[in-house]
Amino acid sequence: MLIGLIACQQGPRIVQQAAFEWDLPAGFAEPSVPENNQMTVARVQLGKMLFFDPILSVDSTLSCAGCHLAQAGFADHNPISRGIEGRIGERNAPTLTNIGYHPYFFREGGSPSLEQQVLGPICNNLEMGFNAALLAERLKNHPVYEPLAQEAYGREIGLFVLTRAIAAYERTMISGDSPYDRFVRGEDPQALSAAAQRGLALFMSERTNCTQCHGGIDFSLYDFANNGLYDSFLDKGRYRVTLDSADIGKFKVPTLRNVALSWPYMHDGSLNSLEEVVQHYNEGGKGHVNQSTYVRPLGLNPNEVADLVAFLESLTDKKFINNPAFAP
Amino acid sequence: MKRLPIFKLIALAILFSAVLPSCEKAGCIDPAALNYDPDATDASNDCTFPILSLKLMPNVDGQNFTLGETYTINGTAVRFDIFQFYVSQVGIGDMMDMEMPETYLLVKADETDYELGQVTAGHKHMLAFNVGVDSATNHADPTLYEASNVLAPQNPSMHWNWDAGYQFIKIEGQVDTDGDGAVDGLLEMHIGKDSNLRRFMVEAHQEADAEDFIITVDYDIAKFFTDVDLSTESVTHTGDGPELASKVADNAITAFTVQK
Repeated sequence: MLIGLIACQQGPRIVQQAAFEWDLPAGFAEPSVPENNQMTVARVQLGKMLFFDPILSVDSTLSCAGCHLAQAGFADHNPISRGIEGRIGERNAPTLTNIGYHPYFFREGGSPSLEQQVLGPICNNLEMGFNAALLAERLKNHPVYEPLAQEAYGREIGLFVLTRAIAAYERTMISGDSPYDRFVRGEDPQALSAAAQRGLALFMSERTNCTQCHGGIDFSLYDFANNGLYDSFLDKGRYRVTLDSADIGKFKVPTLRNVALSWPYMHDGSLNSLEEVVQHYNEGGKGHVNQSTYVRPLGLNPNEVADLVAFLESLTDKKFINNPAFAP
Repeated sequence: MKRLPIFKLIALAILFSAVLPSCEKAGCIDPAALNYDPDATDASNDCTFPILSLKLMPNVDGQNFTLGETYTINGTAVRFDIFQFYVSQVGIGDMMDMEMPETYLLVKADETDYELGQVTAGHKHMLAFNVGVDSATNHADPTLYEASNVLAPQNPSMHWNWDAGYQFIKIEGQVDTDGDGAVDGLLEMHIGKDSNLRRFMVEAHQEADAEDFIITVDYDIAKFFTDVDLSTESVTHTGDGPELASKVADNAITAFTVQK
């Protein structure tokens, strides 16, 4: 049992509830959790309800799940996300796979916590289109959420609870049981095809330098990089935060887990397939002034491109995608 | 001569101390209070202090201002539907003792009276305040504030819900973009980011000598747009128009005058 929250006159009351038990793949650490949002079962359950609830959008038609679909690796298949009334957003929806490990959020890194990013899409006029203050009023008038908020956080439903609960739920979205994982853990030597094994070797090699950006257990070091997708970027990426021209065209390096499901690719969904993505890197990028030095012509032959694609496909974690905990 | 025993001396001392008139006086002993009594030696705990309010009065080049009305600024017809901005870190007093760091106001053009709280009595040489919020506040989580706090999410929103933080100045309406006199073009200025925080400072010469201490500050909305051609420069969300945003932020602190 977890005893949480200090009672005070107007603040949260003391609540006693079951701590959330992490089900972590081998080698995965617990994601770091803010002091004011320790993980409990009640919080995760409340977050899940809110995540799937379209009342978070102004016209009650679009939930968080609308752009983060399991079958799309918790991203979606639109090049640019679709908001309420079919509005076209600004970027390709990022996957939520292992999102709890990220140190900052949005593709330009413009939000410092999973909690604070929650209001981003809700209040974006091209996404869920709502006003946060009005959403708080709507939630207070909802018959179900108030007791659940009291149970989970010892305080009334509102923006604090909304953002904390959804963040708690999203932290549970951990993927680490793909064929690749079973292969490297020695659990199933047959988990990777010969092509995928060759692709793995290429991926890890200095010849491709893939791991300079896509390293680590989540296949991302979460740095910001310009991958040479364009010679002139309409979306200036990290520059929007720093206003430093050296950051034009830099975006947070995404995880590659479940990448085969999350097509199309890049921040603007401009590449439709993994073959196109690998070929982009094989050609060495368009030569933007900020392009990463790791992006350069690789000289891969078609078979090697196919091997890399086979490896990337081996990062699909079906147990994660089909986990009922992440289904409505 | 027979000497008095010591216990009798003590008893006499107590007797005299009870009978003789006391030199102590009860009263307010805080020099910063309105009712400070320089002769008082005993704190009476009834000190009173001025309560500072700002009366922020908008105008357009001297004309009364009303949201929804059309004005001509720099030769361009313009209508304001939203005109509001954050004021913070209000300073009142001498140069070295000015800060009220926890004060945040959301000034709206259709609201004029803002109570700030207790200040010390006396002559107030300077008045200063920021238009916008400091960097630490700008990047804090707005959901941590009670809903009644002006830093909590507002309707209309004053926060971008990402790193950019608060919109320090929010101006929305319609503007004449083609010179036909009709205000049918978009006016939308959302000005923020740390680099656009500005501080207004002026010699105010106000006397805080009553419990209601009101300073009236006029602000000329036209001056927010000095050297701005509203027919062509009417939209910035700061990131997509940093030069215009910076210019309006610079202009904003030229718009205020203190009534004396």
